Amino acid sequence: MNFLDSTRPTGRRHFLAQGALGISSLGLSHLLSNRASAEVAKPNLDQPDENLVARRGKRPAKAQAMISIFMGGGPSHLDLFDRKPMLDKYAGKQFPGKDVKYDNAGQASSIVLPCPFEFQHCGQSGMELNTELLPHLGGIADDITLVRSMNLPNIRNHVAGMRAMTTGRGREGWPSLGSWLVYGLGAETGELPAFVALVMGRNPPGSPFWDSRHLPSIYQGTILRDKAPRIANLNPPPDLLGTPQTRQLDLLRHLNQRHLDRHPGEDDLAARIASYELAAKMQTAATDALDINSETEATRKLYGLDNSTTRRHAEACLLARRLVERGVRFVQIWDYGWDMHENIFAALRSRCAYSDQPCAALVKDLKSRGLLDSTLVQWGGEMGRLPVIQNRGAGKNPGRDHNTEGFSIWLAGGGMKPGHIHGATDDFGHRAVQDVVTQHDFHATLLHQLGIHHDDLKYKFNNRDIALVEPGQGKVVESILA
Amino acid sequence: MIVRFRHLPTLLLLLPLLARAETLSFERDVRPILKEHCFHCHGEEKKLRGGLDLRLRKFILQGGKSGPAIELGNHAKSRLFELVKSGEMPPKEELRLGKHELETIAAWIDARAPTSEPEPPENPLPGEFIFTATERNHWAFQTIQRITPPNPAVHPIDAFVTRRLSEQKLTPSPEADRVSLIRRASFDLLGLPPSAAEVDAFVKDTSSNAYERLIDRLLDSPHYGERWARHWLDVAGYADSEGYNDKDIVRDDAWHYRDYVIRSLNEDKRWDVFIREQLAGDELIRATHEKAGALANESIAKRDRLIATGFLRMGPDGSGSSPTDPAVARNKVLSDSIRILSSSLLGMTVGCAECHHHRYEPIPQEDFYRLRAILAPVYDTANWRMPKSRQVQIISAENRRKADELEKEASAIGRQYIDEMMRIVRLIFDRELEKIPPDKQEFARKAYDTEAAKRTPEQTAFLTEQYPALNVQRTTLHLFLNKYKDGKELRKGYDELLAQANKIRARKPKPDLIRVATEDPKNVPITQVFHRGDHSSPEGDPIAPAGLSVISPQPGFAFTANNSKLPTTGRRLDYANYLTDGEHPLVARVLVNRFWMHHFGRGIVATTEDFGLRGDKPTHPELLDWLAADFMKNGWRLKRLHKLIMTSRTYRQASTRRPDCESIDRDNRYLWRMPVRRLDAESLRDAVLAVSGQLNRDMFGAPIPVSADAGGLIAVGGGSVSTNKLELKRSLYVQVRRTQPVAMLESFDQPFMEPNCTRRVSSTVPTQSLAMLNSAFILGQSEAFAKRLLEADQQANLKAATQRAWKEAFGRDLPANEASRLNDFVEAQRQHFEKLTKKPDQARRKALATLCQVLLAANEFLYVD
Repeated sequence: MNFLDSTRPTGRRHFLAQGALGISSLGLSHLLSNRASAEVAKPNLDQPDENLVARRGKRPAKAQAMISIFMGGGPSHLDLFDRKPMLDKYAGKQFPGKDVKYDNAGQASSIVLPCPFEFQHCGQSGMELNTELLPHLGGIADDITLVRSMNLPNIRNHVAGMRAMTTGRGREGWPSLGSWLVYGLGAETGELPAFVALVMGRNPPGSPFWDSRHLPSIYQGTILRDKAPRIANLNPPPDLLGTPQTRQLDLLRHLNQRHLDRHPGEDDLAARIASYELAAKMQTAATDALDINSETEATRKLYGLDNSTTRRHAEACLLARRLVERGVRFVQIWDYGWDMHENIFAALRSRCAYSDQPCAALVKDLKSRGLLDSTLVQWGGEMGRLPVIQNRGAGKNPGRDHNTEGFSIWLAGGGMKPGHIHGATDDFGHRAVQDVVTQHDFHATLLHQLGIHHDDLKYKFNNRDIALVEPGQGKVVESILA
Repeated sequence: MIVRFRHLPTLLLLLPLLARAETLSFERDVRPILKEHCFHCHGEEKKLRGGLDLRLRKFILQGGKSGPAIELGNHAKSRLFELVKSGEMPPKEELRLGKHELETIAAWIDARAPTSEPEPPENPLPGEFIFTATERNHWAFQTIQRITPPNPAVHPIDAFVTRRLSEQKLTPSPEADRVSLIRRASFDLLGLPPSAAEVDAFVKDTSSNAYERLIDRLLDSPHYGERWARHWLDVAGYADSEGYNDKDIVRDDAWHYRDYVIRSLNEDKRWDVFIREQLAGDELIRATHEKAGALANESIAKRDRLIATGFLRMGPDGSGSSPTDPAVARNKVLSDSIRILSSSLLGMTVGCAECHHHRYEPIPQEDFYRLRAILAPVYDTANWRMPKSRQVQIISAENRRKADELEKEASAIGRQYIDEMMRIVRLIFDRELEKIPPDKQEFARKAYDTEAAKRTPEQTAFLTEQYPALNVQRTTLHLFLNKYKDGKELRKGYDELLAQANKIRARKPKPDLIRVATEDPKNVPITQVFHRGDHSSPEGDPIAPAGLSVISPQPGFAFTANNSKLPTTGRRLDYANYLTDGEHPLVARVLVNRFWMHHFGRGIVATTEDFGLRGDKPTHPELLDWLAADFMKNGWRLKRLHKLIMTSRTYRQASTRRPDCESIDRDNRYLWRMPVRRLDAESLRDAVLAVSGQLNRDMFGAPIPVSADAGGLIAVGGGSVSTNKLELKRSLYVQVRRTQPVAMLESFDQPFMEPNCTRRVSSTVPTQSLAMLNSAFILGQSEAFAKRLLEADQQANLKAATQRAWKEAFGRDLPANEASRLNDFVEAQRQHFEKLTKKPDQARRKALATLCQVLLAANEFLYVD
């Protein structure tokens, strides 16, 4: 798979637009929902409705919402979560393992690179973490579940890895996790998009990973930018604010409804009417959700909002909480900055300095608000790093190359077993060997916690069932559930 | 017990398949599964894993090291089935077989492994690519049929479509109303809405050929070329930046290609010629890298041929953007070009064969490298030419004359400058000479006056080593002058002359740069297959330039590697001729199908970029062939094809859904109605500008820069409009920065060019709605629209303006039952603003502007019937 291989495809959504939305038959009032209408929601997913009405899966749900902190690029599990004494023993020596897959073959070496950071056993659980770089995470060790045995079979490189983690497949062009969740569970709020992608800096390569693809476009993620304007054109101009724009929206709704009457069954037109309704509500609701000035001093401190190093991540994490609090189903923070082929130790130090406090704060904050039980938080990327030196920078300032065969992620809340470590890599942290978790298992487990069996979540497309987890794949990792 | 029941679940699953078992065949049902999951290790590499080859039934029966792979009639006892069932094979988890695939294999074994065609008597060697008859017989690889339309009494397109409709028990829709027709035709051909006056004229025109004349008028409009250029530029991957990495360096040389495409479409250039020019324009005029500059300035025709080759230069090119790994960046340019070439003209996913044989299509890995061999002389990765060194300067004859004149003027002054400088040099020398012993002065003067090359060793040593201070030269003069008090004074004279010359030179008309693909005959690389696509692992024999082998005219067919009649290799010219000779099964079908998609929202083959076995089947195969044949027979003229399509009853149908047909064919695959389509990003922006009256209809020229506006969003001209109103030109002329898409266009699905876009998506997201409600662009254009309405008729009241606004936006008259609602709206808004501002005129305009905005945001404006 090429790093930049991304022929942008397909007008699937385009002919969906002319086809199978099935929205108008439900009437527009059903398109968007609110918490009240959740009570009349259908109880199962045999035939998920193609609308945004809140509904439940067949299974008892632990979580209602999910926040994914996607650390793209491949955070080094060896240097953060998965200490390997063997690396010290073999420091500077030939790596005795076999079949190292280098993605940068030209700079490959087989010299073992030890981790220079201090690890400590944290909390009552005694979870061993790099407390030098992740002191805040160390402080919540008893609240998180650490999975040390992630392995993406047959996946190489970032784009394929990020696709695998977000769509289940390394191939291009499949619906993303957030779209699946909203398709399966609908929205809890009619005032905010149910699926928000909060992108820090530039879009990660291979984007978008928040596309609904085969699924109707009402399930697409809405991008929140990492700086103003976070949502483009969110605020009405001052002279239209209030009555003038309300009148405009009324007239627009009327004209669009008349137009729809002349085009019975034209689902795309109905979807756009709904989209104007949502946009109108977002102007207030999203403005409110994005206004972090109302947070208390204690909260600001908790996240590190007033510290220039942590501010950007703090804002992102805090916004994620504020959105989930307001009924957003799935928030994914994208931070593509962990690809460290050179000078990895300095790079990790700075990256962790940005993000450690805010990420830990999010878990603490959710917990203190009683939201952690119903919100599944996940932190991690699409790969880890290799135990050997990558020689960019002529030997000084070494880096580590990609490793999709063994890496760590952590989860919190949403019915996960707190203070628990799952699985293990080999002695060098090269490959996941014990209780391996693939992206399929990962997805099956997430869905399970949200009340959906992965085989139930499917969508008929061109007379073929498509699913996040392909049939026969994916096992719920029972041992990490509380 | 356990053993006995182990296969029970499988058997139960098999029940529905038993009925099918009769018709199962290796080629159609089983081989594709094995090809996708197993061939890689068992047949397609020179080494067979476990000695097992799965490419043919006879090999499967023969089996590998551990015996026969299947036992006929008994899947449960077949080792192959056991291994794939248990998940032991394939070892890569991602490749493991699904339930349905397992069932198919089991049923096939139980049916004693039937084949649909006799297997070849010879035994192909491992690694050799085998085409099955099913693959060879795939519809898209067959010669384009010259079919007679089923009913000579009606329009040929309608004859084909009607037949399919009646087969499906569907009926066509009645003709659309006139307003819908002119709006549909205008957006289709121009990407712009008809003006109110144009609508009126058409609606009132009762002559029998009114519609035909409308089509003719639209086809003659210069805006036609702009609209249809956009479609082709998507496929070609047009962009004004190099992409590849974050630098995303701006391309200042691509836009001539964009203008060439517009001109070609407007003059209805034959598409076979159009393709030949783009693939081999340089070879058509016998240009080489060295001679391209001279030829480009010889004639407009030659220049255009060179500009056309920009098609091969459209993909991202990061080779000049200090890429991390230059070799990777260079090879990526080639790979992207192959992807663009194959998706645009062949409709095949050839790119998948870069690293291995195609998993689904009959495309061996070598095919990718055959195409690579065609382009390789342009892109010699060993003797790479950076984007800047591939540019060719062009200048018009008049500008060239102007430039020559100014240069003459400047060099005259330049000569004075040299003379003056030399005078000072001598002066300084004389001063320095005074400083050495008098007895050596004569020797020094003689040495100094001798040309450097003719000096004796003694003279040289004297000037450079003994007395270096005597070696005053033009280039070192300034150092000497610094020593002298009057230095400043002395240099003033010649500095002024230089400034004068430079000033004149600055007035010389600048040449433009064009982006071209040329070959350097000195460097023709050998092409080899890259093992697993890795450029650092070339392997095997040199690959000859050729097209896809499954449609090869004869086995082993290749183009001449080096045409002795041309200064270049001639590979691209050969290939272009081969593609356009009228016999190629894909090119015309692919083109016609894409044209069809732009009219009907969907191709006869819905996967316009994939005509392979995995692509969609044509809904109207005979119509597709007839169109392709007719297109070629009549000179590959697109305008003619437009007219043919648009005069059909099929095209003129109303778009309303009808329950009777809806229940049979919800997706409208059989065309019982016209689909309702949303305007694409560019058409939307252009339509808003057209209706507001702000559209700058100037054509061609350098791209309009984009940058962040006050709110941090990327906007045309950073959100402001300069006095020359360039920022109000059509969206086609807006700079395409791969990393900086214009927010407004991006939100309405303008594609990213990585490397190209073969089919657009059309999404519905709230950010689009927010843009229509609150964006500076829409607000500004709504104001302009209102202003235009009020200025057009100073006396008019708001009611009249409201009526006109409706008409301009939607093309139809404001119905009486809506009028009062709209009037009430405007009046309420007016009162609101008047109360607020106390300025009646401003309040009127503002109120009207809020109405205009609603109209622009309405679905009736955003969608075309």
